[in-house]
Amino acid sequence: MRELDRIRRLAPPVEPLTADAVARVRTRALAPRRRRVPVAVLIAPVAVAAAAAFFVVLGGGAPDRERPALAPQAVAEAGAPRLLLPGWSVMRADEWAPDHGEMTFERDGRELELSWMPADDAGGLGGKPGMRAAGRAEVAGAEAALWRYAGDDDYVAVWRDGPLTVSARGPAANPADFAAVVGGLERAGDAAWRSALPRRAVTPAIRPRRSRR
Amino acid sequence: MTAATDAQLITRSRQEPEAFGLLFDRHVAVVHAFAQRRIGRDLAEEVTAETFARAFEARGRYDAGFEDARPWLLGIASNLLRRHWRTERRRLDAYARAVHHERPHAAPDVDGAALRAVARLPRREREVLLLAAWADLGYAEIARALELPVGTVRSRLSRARARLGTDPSLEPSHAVATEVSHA
Repeated sequence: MRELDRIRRLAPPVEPLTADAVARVRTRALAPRRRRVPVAVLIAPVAVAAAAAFFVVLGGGAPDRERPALAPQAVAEAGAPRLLLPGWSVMRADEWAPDHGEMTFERDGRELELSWMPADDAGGLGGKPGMRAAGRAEVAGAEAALWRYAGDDDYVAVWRDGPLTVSARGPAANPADFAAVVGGLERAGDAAWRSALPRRAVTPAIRPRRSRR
Repeated sequence: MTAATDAQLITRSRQEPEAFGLLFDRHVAVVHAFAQRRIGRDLAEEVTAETFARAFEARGRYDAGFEDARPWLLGIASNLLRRHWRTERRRLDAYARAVHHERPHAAPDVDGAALRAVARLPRREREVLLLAAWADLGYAEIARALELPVGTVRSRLSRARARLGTDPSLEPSHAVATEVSHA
């Protein structure tokens, strides 16, 4: 437990919340907010979602009688990859922005983590120092670069999907095994993708940045 | 008179929303401290507020069999902290430099290297490690927080510790990385 003790000892110092800060946080957390945009809006076409985003940004909607409704949920989900891995379950999905999210697939205790973000933020398809190239594979109609983490059995596949960079990471016995797994990723329709998500992931709490200001 | 448990407060808040304020008062410092250690004071306020707001929304689904709501709240916070992975990495790197700067004669820079290594752990391992080290949660509590089997928590923590101790790619000389994925 030596490593854990070291990290525990190295915990950055914490500046305690002042009374003012507590009041500020409390207000932001628990004060009445605008009503959530209905879930139906989330699964509507992009134009409807964009309109909802506009609605939320401008502060529309009736006040919630009870309380919070924190994160107004309206987002144009254009461009987000809709990928499924047949035979694997979706354990979680978090979509923080239309172009930035993660999901985790699982089968027999094995996991594959999928993430996507704007290509400009991802920095290309190259590997990190310490990674080794592990070939290439076709993934969901794109050519992906495969990398292996040094000293580990984790592999990463990275590919472009329009304006996004998508990566999939998981353990594998060898590059061919990993290529076979990620090669199984398939594009899905929006309805099929949503129906594969765990219940708690159907309404990702995504908000336009300006909506909470 | 015995204070109400977290579970009792949450249950009561379904009918009396103001009861949730007591839960907020009880745990706001812990949630904020955990977030502040990972992403700094200012963003921590936002994450803390969002954590309690989401918790309030989800209180109807809280399993009242668990008296202590701290793992649940820290799990919500952990999910929200995923949005700030870049900030967390930068902060850990900066903190690693600061630690070394404070003790320049303490060569080699073991502490700084450890912090940089934490910054480069796969997200799923870093989450488990920091819930254990900086939020003081046990295996079962982390499992609750992240909705994972306890065995998965053990294996992730074990792998994280192994990486911190042995993975050559996590040595300081490899600390500047071209990011491929935030996994």
